Amino acid sequence: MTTQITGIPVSPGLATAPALIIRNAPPTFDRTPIAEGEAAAETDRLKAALGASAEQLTTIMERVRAKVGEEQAAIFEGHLMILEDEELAEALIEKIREQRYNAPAAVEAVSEEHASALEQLDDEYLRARAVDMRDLARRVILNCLGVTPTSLSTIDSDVVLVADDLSPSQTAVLDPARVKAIITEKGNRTSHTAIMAASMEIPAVVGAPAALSSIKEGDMVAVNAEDNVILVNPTAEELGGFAERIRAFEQERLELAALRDLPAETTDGVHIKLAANVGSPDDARPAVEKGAEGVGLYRVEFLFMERAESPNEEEQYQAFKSVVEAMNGQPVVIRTLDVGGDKDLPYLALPDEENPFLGCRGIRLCFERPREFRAQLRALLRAGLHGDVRIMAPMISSLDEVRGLRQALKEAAESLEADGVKYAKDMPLGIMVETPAAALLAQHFIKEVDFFSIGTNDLTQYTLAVDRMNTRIADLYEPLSPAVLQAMKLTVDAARNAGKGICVCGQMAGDVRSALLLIGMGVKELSMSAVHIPRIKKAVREHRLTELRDLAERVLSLPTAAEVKAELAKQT
Amino acid sequence: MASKTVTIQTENGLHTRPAAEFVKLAKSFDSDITVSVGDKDASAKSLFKLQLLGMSKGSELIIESNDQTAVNALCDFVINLA
Repeated sequence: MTTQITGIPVSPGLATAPALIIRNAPPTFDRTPIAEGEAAAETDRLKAALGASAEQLTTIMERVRAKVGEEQAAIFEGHLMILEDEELAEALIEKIREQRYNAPAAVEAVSEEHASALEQLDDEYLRARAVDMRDLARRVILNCLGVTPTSLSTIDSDVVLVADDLSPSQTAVLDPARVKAIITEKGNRTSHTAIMAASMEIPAVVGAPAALSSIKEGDMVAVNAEDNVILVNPTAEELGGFAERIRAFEQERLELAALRDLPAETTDGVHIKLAANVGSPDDARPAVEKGAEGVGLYRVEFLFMERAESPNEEEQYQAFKSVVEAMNGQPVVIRTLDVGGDKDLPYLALPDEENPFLGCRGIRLCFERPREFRAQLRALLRAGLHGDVRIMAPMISSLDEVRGLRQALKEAAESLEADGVKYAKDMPLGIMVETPAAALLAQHFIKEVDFFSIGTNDLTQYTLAVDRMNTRIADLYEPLSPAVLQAMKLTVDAARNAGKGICVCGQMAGDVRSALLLIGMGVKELSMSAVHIPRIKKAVREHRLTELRDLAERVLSLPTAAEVKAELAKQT
Repeated sequence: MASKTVTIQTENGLHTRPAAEFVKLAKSFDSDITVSVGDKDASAKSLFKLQLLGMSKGSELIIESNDQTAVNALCDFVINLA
């Protein structure tokens, strides 16, 4: 019988394929001490698991070497070397023979001892190897239990991925040609998985709590991220209907594609600039194909993932340059490294924080790591020689930070000057307005920066004091709350009064109704996942700016999100 | 017993790739080779154990073995790290 589940659709599209279940939870197994005489058998089980793990890692390493690069492959080479280490084998066998641990328990104990010892070291890089050790141990334990761990980089048939959640490093290696759709139990519109899926144009439904209990490995799954319907093991009849829906979707896609070369202009002739959010040089070409007029937000974090250490200045420069060149002279806004909060990089060995979203993230972390920040600013200044590049800093909450940023940029320029390296002078510098502090002080901030970009996801979370990762209060997360709209209004008005640029680059920019409201509020530039551009363009072309202004005026006088939504629904 | 002392000069100490190459080089010799830093020591052939020495920039490594060639080769490797 067909099971039907729903969630939060975050990346449009439809697809049918067998399910591939990804389990990231720690494996459960029996830890009863082994009986006398079982040591030999357990040792054999351990050796087989180590051998199988080595074989899997070799495959992954070769794939990564071919698909990603030598640098990233070296990480797996280090893992392999540990796996084949004789001292490790001796420590494991001792646990089995002397302390009567079974094979997986021995792996767990030895790796945990090693990881804890690593965490005690002074060297930041070595401390971060604890993560690798635990990751490696997980693989060996699963192999001891006769389970082959799935690696997203080695998928070689069409699948629908079903997981509790996917980590940034997992999404970074998956192949959009094979992964037809993604379903996760956790997450929401702004979680990492949602953003990555949209940027790779993989249909995705997140926050589907019934996913893992309703879907088994290999079940046929029909994912409709348009209408928020997931069918598990559909009947032939249902599959037929689904195929019909896919055809309709493709039809709409074609119609939208026809708008590609037409301007995003309201019926009264006002041009709205629609730019793309990109995460890597690979995203730039699809963005151009969708008709993006530049990049409104280049998230550089992805360049820092799936590696053993931060990319150096030259690597960053090359990546920035390739995006800038792909955009053919159109503006590219590059955001400085925005990690912390929900985005971790194991090799930075960031300490755990009670409230990571209120902790050392964004610009705060950049200031804490001046050496890495300098390298990034130098790469940005150099990339400026290849096109229209603008720098933007995240998570700004005081003017001191703006001034600190200017100073850091000046020092980076001076160091390039001293080294005789060419760079772009007078590069525009802007900030993300994503804290209530920045919105409230927008009229002061705008005097010291060249442009604003509103990050609606974080501005919503901070204005409403709603952790956007906490599914228990997901219903309280509401970008259309009048409080959030007022914060945006302050920001937009400050920028417009100063005659400076104002862009909106969060999830709202890619939602038709919200985008129309933003335009009515005076925003002339929206940046979104490229996949949303055609629909937004179509909506822009169907409305008059004057009617949208009236709409914004009505909406901004409303006291609740429900009334805001009702008013917006009347418009479209 | 041959023994030599060498100091790590590179910013990144012995990170993934150089560490793996160091171990590969050590494994190419038959004799036992020991690396000590402060009061800790480990086999030069075990990345697993070497990690726990906490080698970083400025660390003084004492490399010991019966094989003088091995000691020289590993010292040179550390000195020549870029």
